[in-house]
Amino acid sequence: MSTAELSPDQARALAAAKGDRRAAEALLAQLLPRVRNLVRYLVRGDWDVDDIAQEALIAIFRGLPTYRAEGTFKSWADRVVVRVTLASIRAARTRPSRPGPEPVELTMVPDPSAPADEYLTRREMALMLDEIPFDQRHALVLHHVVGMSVPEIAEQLSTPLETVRSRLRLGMASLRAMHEKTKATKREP
Amino acid sequence: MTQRRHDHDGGFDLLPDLDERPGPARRISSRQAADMVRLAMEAAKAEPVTPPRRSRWKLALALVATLAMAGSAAAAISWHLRERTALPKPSPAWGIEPPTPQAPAVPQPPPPIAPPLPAEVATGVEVPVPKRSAHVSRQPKEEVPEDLLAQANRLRAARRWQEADTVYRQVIAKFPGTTSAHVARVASASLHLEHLDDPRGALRLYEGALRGTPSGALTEEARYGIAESHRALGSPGEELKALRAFIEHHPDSPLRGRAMARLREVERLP
Repeated sequence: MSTAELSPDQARALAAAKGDRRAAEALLAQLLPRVRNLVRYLVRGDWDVDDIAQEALIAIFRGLPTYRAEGTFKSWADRVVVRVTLASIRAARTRPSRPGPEPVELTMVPDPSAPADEYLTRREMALMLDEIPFDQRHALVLHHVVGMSVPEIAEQLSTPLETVRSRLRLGMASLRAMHEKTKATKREP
Repeated sequence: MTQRRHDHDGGFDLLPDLDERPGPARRISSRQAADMVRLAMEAAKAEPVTPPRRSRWKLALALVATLAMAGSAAAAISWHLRERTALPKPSPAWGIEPPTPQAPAVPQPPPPIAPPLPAEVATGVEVPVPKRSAHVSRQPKEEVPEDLLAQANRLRAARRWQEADTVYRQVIAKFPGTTSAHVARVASASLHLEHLDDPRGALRLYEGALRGTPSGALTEEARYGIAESHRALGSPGEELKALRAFIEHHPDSPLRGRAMARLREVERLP
């Protein structure tokens, strides 16, 4: 692929891989919100998001020399984040567990850069995901958020294809049920 | 090419696309974001090429900068202000108090003392910090507090909590009255609260930090830490007082909402 055919992200990633510090810094700064969002989709609660996001940024930065501009840079980075986050979750399972996070207070002033209720809606969705089993959650996020195919997910999670499909179905059903229940609760006087 | 939709998906639209817009991760300030990026790049270069360990990135700020630490410490330990899970039960109190400040036995150059930082530091306003004095820089075996904090942070990143705390206490003992000692005291307090199962020790350290530096850098963290320590100790009355003090002194804190919510919970306790 010639330089002219590269997207701005790809060009910046390749420059960063060659040691261009400014390109690297700009790239990571641009990626950070996406990285944090993806980590939050995958983990339960806010507790560990920034620690894991930090590890993911380090892994992305150190992995830049391996990026070959095949596919979008963001897709490549997403997969690095997924690997780091799932590894972190597995490692956490061997440590004494902490109780779940406190309920999040969503009565916040909307962020000026987002539509009026988008941030709160996304936060609510994360709370709903917190209520479903990890295996269903990960299947849902990897497929519907990251855009991984079922075979890719099966490989990532070392799980048979049919198990992934089953988790997707169950996860979707659980999430839909919770969403309907939340909507009904909000409609109540 | 990934296949996003399968025929059994039925167009699942509850989960939004992944992008850079706010949510579902909690919002952070632009300064915190910039610090995360900077630390990631520095950590990536500094670490050996082995599986990365979990690192408490924000406290790494206390060691990456030198005298700039004085300005970044507030941002560094502002990580501390995040929603917590249930805190560990009270355990035997930390039996060792950091020594009270006293004159060093061996004559040495006075460590650089940063002026108390205004509250604006917590909101990201740049504050000029004194340059490292030429005299501090450099006798071959001279120990500087930043090196010790760097060492403590490496231990912390390796989850060697007790050893990290030992180094923080060395900073407090060897460089009393300095910004480094203040940072080390707050850092040690957070270790005691979160990893050493010692909220009583944490409380003592947070209160000591606040006594030594009643305004400026890290007072927000210290006051919030006091409330958290009382919570872990199961002292709702003291926790209530501490929360009210936090809200009164830090009305613009990003954690004001959380503190208010916790205040309401505690007020409802029988």
